Amino acid sequence: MDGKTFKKPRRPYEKERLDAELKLVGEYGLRCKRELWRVQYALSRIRNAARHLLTLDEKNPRRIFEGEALLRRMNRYGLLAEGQNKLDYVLALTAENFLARRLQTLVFKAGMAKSIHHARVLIKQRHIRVGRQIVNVPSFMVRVESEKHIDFSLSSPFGGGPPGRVKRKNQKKASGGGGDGGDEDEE
Amino acid sequence: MASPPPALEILVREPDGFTVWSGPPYPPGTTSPPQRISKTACSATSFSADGARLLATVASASATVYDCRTLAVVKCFELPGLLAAALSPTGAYLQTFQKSSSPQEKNVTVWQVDTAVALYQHYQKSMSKATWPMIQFSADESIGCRMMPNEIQFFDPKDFAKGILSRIRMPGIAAMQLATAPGSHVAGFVPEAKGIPASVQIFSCNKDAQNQAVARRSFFRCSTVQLHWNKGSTGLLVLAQADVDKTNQSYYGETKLNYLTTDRAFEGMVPLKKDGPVHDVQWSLSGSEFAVVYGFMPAKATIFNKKCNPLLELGEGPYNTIRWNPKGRFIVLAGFGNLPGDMAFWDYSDKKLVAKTKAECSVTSEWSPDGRHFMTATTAPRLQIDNGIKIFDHNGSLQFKKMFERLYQADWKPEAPERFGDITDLTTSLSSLKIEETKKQVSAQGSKSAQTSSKAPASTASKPTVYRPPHAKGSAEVQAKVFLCMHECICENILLISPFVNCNPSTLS
Repeated sequence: MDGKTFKKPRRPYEKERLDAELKLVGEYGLRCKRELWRVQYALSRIRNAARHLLTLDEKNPRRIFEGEALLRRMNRYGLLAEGQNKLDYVLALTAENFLARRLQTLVFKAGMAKSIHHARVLIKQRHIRVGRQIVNVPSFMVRVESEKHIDFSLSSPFGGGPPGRVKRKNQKKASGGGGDGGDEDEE
Repeated sequence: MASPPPALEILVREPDGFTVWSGPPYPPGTTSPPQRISKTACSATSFSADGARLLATVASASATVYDCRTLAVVKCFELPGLLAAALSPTGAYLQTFQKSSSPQEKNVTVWQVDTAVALYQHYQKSMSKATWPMIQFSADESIGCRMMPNEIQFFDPKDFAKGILSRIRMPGIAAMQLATAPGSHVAGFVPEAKGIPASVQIFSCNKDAQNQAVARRSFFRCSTVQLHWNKGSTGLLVLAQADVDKTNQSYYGETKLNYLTTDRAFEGMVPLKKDGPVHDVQWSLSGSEFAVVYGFMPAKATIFNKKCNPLLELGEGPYNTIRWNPKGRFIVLAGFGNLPGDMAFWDYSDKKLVAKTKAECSVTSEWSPDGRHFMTATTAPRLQIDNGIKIFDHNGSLQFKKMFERLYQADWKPEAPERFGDITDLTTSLSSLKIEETKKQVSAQGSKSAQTSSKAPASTASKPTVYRPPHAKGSAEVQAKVFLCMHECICENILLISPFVNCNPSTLS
């Protein structure tokens, strides 16, 4: 059975927390508070792991192995810069670092969408690909090496493909509507 | 090479006219370099792209074409109401735009310079700076193309009477750039329409392959675009600028750098590590790498290769300009405009900082075509005081300076870099100076060594007990040899250097 991926806050109506969460939701175009709590839960698990590793001895094989793996994952997803290769930097990560690596934010930052909400719409409507794969998920965590391969998909009208359903219908109406005005299947 | 390298020339335009100087190196103590042509009145001048011809226009009156080798007049065109004129890359054709009152008068004309025959004329109500010149020629003038609303039309310059050879249909096209390699590709930019993103598309110039774009890239949030082709026409850098920054980070708008290759190996954004505008992007003259200065101040500078992988980081600093040396070995990173004018000279193949100096209030800066001199100029109307020209050599020391009351333009005469010899003799003497690896020490001692190396020959003649820093102690003879081989006349006039040396620190600091 799958585990939970988010944790509700302890105090439900705390003014500063509500304001801070609303600001992040607006800035990154999230759908609901749960998306933010999901990121905060993932962050807190990573920080707990790093904190536990730091209590172990410096030469402990478990600390070395798991510490390297954790740092490698953080570097790969662009959460830590190249110079920051120590476990202490993992403890300084914030939710904004994670939110900035979502596909929705990166599509907006790359100039491929007019606004952060437009980016979410484009992703969900299958216009964006990463590499060769169309990605439909706005919270896709983009790796550093995939970041330069975010582009419009080849079958999308924005990326050089044929026009979409609405445009085809309008074109048909403009050209064929003057002629026969005949029976067209409206599906 | 069999033929001797051509001489360098500098075009200088002042309020009362233009003149052409014979180029550096100048013997020390020259106040006014030798002039090849006496001052001739004009309102605008420009060279043709290969430097063979020079065009001088007098506003609303005439355009004169000179041959650069002899500086004799080839043809003078009397054109009342002349607003703009442009020479084709080899100087064989001249496009002019005249003010016209009625649609019957055709006011855009293409002349053949040698025979003064009007090859092609048509009427156009107005023009803007962005769309001038109307007809773009390829570098060898085998193709000319013109941007009309919704399409690009191709001509054969040898025979305009044939009319339009082919057209590429691009609804809504706003900007176009022919590739540098003759006859290969053309890039067109279509701005954002209702829901459709802005796009840059590359088409082939070949008539048969013109129905499908070779490469394309779409993006939103862009109002204007600058297209930079590289030398072999394999890659196109697209600098997209938006007036409003939707990410709310800058008042001045945002810029994005995209990169397209004609073989579709790479189509995407250039990965830049720092947020902020892209200040400058330049292809190297070999066309296989490009350098970008980007980010909020202090800006970072990086050199990328053709596959868009970073090759070298040039660090951070108050820079917003990059100039590649035409012989490809040196780069100048400079901060002109609203920045105080720091210049950093880098040796690209050794990946070392060579020198740092300052050239305050410069407006334009260019390497000489042979790669040995770097000229910065302060010109009106951007700056009305302190107009002048400064010429530096490749390791940042000031060689020549001349101030003017008012200076409008100072340009090198363009030449193909292949016609000059290699500059490896400069670089072997540099490596023997044994500059240290770390950047800070090099920058501190780079400017010091420029001063001490110029002082060393004078001081060994007069005062043997002068202090010399440790790195210069063992190689004083080598430095003297370096200076001798770089400036041939200085060996006879060592004493004449001292007044020159004394004014150096004030210009360098």
